[in-house]
Amino acid sequence: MDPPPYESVLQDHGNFFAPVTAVSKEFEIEVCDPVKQGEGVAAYVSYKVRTKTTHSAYGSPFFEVIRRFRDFAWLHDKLVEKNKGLIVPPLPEKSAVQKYQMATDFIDQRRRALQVFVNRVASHPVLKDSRELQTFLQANEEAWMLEIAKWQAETNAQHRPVSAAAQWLKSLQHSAQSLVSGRADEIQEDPEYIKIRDYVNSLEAHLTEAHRQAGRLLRKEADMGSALAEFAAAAEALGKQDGEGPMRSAFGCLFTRAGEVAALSRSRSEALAVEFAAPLKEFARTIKSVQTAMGDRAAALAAYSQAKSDLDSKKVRLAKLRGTPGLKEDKIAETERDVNEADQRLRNAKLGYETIRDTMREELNRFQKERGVEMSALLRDFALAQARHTAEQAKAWGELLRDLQQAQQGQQAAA
Amino acid sequence: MDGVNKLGMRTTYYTYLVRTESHLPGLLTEGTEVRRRFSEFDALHKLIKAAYRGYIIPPLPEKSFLDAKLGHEDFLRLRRADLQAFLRSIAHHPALRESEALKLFLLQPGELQYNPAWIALLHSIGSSPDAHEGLVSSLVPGGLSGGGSTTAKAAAGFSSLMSWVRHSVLVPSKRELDEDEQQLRQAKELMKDLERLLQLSCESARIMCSHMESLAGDLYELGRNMGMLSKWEETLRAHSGTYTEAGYSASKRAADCKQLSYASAKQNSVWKAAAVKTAASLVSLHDYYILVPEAVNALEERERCLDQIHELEAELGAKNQELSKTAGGRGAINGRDRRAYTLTNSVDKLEEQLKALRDQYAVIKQRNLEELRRLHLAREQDFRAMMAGFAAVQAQLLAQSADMWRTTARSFAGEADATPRRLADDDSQAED
Repeated sequence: MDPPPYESVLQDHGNFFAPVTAVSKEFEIEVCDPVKQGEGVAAYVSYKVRTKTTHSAYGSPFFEVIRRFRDFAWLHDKLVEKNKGLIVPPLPEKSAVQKYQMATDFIDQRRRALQVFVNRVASHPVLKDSRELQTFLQANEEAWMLEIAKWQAETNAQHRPVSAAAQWLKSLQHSAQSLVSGRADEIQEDPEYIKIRDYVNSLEAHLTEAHRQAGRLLRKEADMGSALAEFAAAAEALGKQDGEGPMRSAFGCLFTRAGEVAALSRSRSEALAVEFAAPLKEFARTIKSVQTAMGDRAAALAAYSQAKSDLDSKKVRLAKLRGTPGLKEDKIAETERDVNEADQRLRNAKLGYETIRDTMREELNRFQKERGVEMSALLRDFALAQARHTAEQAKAWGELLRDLQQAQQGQQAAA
Repeated sequence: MDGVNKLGMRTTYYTYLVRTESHLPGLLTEGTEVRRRFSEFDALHKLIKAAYRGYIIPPLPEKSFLDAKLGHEDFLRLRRADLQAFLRSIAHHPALRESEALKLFLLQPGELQYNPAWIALLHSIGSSPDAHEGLVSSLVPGGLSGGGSTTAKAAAGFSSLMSWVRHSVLVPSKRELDEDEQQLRQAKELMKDLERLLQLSCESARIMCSHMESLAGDLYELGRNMGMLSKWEETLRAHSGTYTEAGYSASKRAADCKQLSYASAKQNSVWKAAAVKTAASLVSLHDYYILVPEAVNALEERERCLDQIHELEAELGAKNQELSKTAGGRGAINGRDRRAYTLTNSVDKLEEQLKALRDQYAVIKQRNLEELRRLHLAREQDFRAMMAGFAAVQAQLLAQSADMWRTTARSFAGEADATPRRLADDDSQAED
């Protein structure tokens, strides 16, 4: 099933239940109605999460729950934990400072981003069937609080699992070691994958830069609007000086039209933020998700590699022992057991790695295709919107010209 | 009439080549060329100012050579343009173009400082930089300083006496200004107000243009980034192989990014041109901004003249009072009353001077009224043209930008089924 193009995920449905695109979707989730709860340091924002679904595992087609940012974070972290190798859609930033300020802009931005997040999860071929998603979308207050409490206890109690970065570092060490020891049977990473990995890393840098530029562009649009408005005000004052003369009305026209154009610029700036800058940001965040998955894969590979070298060294020891005459039987048996355990571990590690590897192959293909389509659509829509916007401005200026000409003709006729 | 400036270089100062073609009866010439340096322009300006009180004299560019921001060449380029504008506006002024000084300036070959006619003109306005004294003596042949005592020290004392007289109790402190005078004073206030408004407009116009420039810069940066992105996608395509699925989508993305990169680069030039053309379309604002203070000056010439009249009237009044106090009164010529004799002489002289001043005042006032009307009409015309020009430039540039964006959008390799409906919407909007 094709993933939803970006705009449909982001659109505020006027009528929530109206079909959005030609492609019928299994899920339509709306995140809306942000409400500030609590006071001071403990304050937070709650959102309504409304789901419309045709998924068989869900009892009813419509339901609504109340969730806060922390709850979305639960969903994200759980999915990452349980689905190594999958590219889990990214969560918007935690941003403690802005949260305290609770500006309306920020809250609306976050709301949109959360809506995108949960809809992407619901359109992911694997994640849409997950139990975690169902719990998130359906669980009532009590069941939910239990779930959260359990999660918080888990994360507090156990020491944090070694992060992917640390694991990757370990794998580096391991590779270095084996390089030194000259092991020829080191398990190599698939070269195809390496290309993609490098591509993804570089893409992230480019996208972050593109996002910064988009930000600059939209600030510039806003600035232009205000500069134009100020110019128009200065011109109007100039015109008023003329008393009731013809210049006053002419400058008055300029003021009105320029005001229109300035308002257009302002609204354009706001639209740009939503239509262009935010998607780029989300794209950059998704790349990070991809990098996390790649980190998991690297870790799995390292574990696999380590298990293999472990087994090899144990086998060597066994062979040595067997070769030595007059050794106790139970010593050999013990070593044989070691070898069998190491072999089992190796099989597990190999399975673990190969699972992630195969999952990721699918995922990366899907990711590239999906993002390719979305990126095209994004760029095209950006260009179209720019076209529309500048055309509207051109029209306003054309009308000013007509106004001025008419005023002049009127004057000449009267004279 | 046309004066054209070009730059020539000399050892320690710069001269400008002034070429004139004219069909004016007083100034007939097919194409005279002379070389003038800045100080000669400055002298011309002073001469015209002195001879044509009450008219709005076009301003001269700044004297100072030091402007750290501008490079040497840029400074000369700007100055040349300013000097040309200066000469042209004089040439277009119905009264100023008749000036003797202008004739000499444009037609006399050789350096003006050696020209006797020019020297004579300069002499008549006095070499003193103090405008007040110099101008007064240009109007009244004897000069006020001649009426009192002849030493410089006494002249200084005389000025302070005059201001005392002005404020003294002997003279009614508030002069009743006639209606015309009141109107003209109000006009001056309006001019000052206008100057302020023009400054605001110029400043906000400048800010607007600089925003356009920096928008152009941002679009350029975006284009560059998209270009790099495109190259990277190309690399991936090359690695993946053109006919694999990954390779295919990479090549599509590469094409898209390249399109956007080109589009941004083109938009960059459109907006750069926009900044320049917008500034050019609004140049009238600046022209009037430097002209309005000259209008204020012209109005103040009249006020100064009136002040001088009042001072003289006050002095006359005082002298007459003194005269009536002396024994013989007016007309006593016997040697006994030398004082009365001296006083009578002073009174006669003062009355002459007063008459001359009153005539001059009438002339200046007439000129003021003419100029205000001329300025008003010109301003109306110029500003209307300016606004139409500004609107036309904006409309044209934005339409150009819109077209380019539309072309870009069409060229994107997008989903065939994606938004045919939306594209149709856009086309119908474009036809509006």
